[in-house]
Amino acid sequence: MSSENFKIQLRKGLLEFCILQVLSNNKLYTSEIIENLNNSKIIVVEGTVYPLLSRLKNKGYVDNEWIESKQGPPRKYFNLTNQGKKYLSELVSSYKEVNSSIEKLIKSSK
Amino acid sequence: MIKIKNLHKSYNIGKNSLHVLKGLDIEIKEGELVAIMGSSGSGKSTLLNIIGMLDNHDKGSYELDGVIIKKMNETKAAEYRNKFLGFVFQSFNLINYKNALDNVILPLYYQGISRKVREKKALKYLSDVGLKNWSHHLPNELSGGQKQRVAIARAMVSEPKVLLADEPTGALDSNTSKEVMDLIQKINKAGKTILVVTHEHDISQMCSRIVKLKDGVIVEDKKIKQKKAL
Amino acid sequence: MFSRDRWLEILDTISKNKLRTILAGSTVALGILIFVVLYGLGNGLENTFKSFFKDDQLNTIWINPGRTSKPYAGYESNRRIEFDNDDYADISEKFDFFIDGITPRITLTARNISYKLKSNNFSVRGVGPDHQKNEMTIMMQGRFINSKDIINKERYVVIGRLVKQDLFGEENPIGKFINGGGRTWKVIGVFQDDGGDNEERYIYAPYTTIQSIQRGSDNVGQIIITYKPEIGFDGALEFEKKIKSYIKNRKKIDPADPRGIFIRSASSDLKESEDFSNVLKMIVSFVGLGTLLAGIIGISNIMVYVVKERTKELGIRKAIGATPKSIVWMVLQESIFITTISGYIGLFVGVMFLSSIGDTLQEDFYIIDPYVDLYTALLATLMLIVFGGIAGFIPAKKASNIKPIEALNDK
Repeated sequence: MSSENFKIQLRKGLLEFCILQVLSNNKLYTSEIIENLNNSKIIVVEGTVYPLLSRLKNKGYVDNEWIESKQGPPRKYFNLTNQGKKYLSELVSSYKEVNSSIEKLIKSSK
Repeated sequence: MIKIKNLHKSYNIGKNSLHVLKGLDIEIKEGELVAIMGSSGSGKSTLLNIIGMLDNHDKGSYELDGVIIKKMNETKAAEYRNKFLGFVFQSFNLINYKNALDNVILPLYYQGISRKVREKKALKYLSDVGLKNWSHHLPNELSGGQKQRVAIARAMVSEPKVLLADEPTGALDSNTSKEVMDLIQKINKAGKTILVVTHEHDISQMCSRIVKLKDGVIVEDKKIKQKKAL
Repeated sequence: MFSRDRWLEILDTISKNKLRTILAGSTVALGILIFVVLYGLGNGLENTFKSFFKDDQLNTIWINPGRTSKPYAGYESNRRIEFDNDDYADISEKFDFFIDGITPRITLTARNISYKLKSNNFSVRGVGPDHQKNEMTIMMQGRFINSKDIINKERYVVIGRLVKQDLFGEENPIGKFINGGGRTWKVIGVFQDDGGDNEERYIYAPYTTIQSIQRGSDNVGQIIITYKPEIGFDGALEFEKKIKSYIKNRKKIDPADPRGIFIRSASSDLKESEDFSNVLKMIVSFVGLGTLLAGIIGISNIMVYVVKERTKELGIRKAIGATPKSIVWMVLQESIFITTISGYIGLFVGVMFLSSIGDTLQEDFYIIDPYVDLYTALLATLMLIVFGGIAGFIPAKKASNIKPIEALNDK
């Protein structure tokens, strides 16, 4: 597969992780989540994010609440549940593990 | 009253031109009663039409009571006709939906005279011809002689300088003809210049001068002793 | 103007040519009649269109998502566009300056709703509180949906008058529970709407509640915005442009794509129907005028005939002293007289006809108040006189050119 493809595949696999990461200390609404990801060069659209958020909600890692805004309609804000926070820290350590393994591989082949 | 010199008139029939009047000279003084005679085609009706300003001459001059008559626009011609000339026709030519009075009034209407005045005047002339009681009759309710008398009243009502009569007795029987000519003689006696176009010898004898036309020129012009109509 | 003599002449001409005059006059009358009736109907139709908009706010726009017709930014064409809560909230924030009221509207297809033993099919819509303002909904009982209902995703409903009639009859529905889609819903209000029967068969619920029963979707359906009237017509146009480009940018739709989203505005609808009725009026006038023209030609025809018939008389008049002008005037007067009388007859019959069928039209043909105003009627009169003059002009000119000598020899 092409290197571009490789990047895309990697990102896809890590998307859930990225979302959880973005929500780790914040209450964000969907557009903000997407914006944050985009700022970190992870390009996603609502079509991808919504189903993921739904899945995360169903699993209990993420929760949402409607917060009234001064002008116009209330907004749905997402946040991590305690369960989610725990899950995230597990994911972080898993990632760090895999990452260091790969780092070692790259170093050894030089 | 009427001075005509070297009068020429041609008609165009298709591609051909018919030279009807070939240089006529004639002078008619005021108060004359002139009969103009000639066979058909001699030009007598044409002459009458030109004198009556119903047609234009091609060459020559025509003077009516000192006024030179030449080709003029219709509006002016109508005005002159109304003021200077009176017409009497063989077929009467009354307007058939107007009664006798209204027929006589017509020239005055075109002079712009007010309603009351013209009614009064017309009634006077109608009486003069003896038809005062018939003023509200329509032409189809009048006899030939009565119709012609209405026509004469109409011709006179505008007090013209010349009265032109084209075969005035042509459609009438001999008795009625005499009555109409009697009326014409009376009018002439009062001073009116009258021209009568006729082909009847008897009628011409009732005038004071006979002018004979043949092939567009005058062949005879003599004064006669006028015979009384009645 | 019309002296006694003149009247006599005109009446005489007409009586001598009764059939021709009637035929020619009828054509004119018919022309005017057709024109009047069609024009009146056109007015009626226009009134109907106007009444359709009577109860809607004119400063409302409906933004509908559609499908793209062009590929753009890596997306293929024919992609389905959807608006979500974030779109709704962002638009609301960003265009706050223009917006008077904004609401989403999720329309569900008609489904069976029941109360105790009664049931029927009704359409359900998920909306926000501003929907009431945007659609000029009038509350008969209870209240409309408010922002607390939205946040709490309450299963509250506001039902239309006809829904209440069907399910509750005379009973007071407020506080009662109806069934739909396997759930119960509490009735918190009853509304009426002048926009026709259909409106009153709707049931409104908080859009968040509808979203949650649709598998947690964030879709808001269409977005309805009522903009502040102070921004004026130009401001409205600018607003529409801005919001269109904002949404297209946000949803990654090609700016040149005519589809993708569709904005319908009440004022452009009204303008369209006005344009339509104007075109209709133009066609009607055209037809009416055409018929009238035919009538004028008919009158002209009869005048030519009349002049011919009266050649001898006209010759006599000329010999006696009638100027060409007076002859022309004579003929013109007759022609104008016939035209105007016939025209008036047509006008009268037309107006009578319109006012007599007025009621039937409203019921059967949705045409309201057909009429022809005074101004139009006066204009028609003037036109008739002018047309009568035109019709008689050529015959009149011909008449004035008759040579008395030829005329007298006629017949």
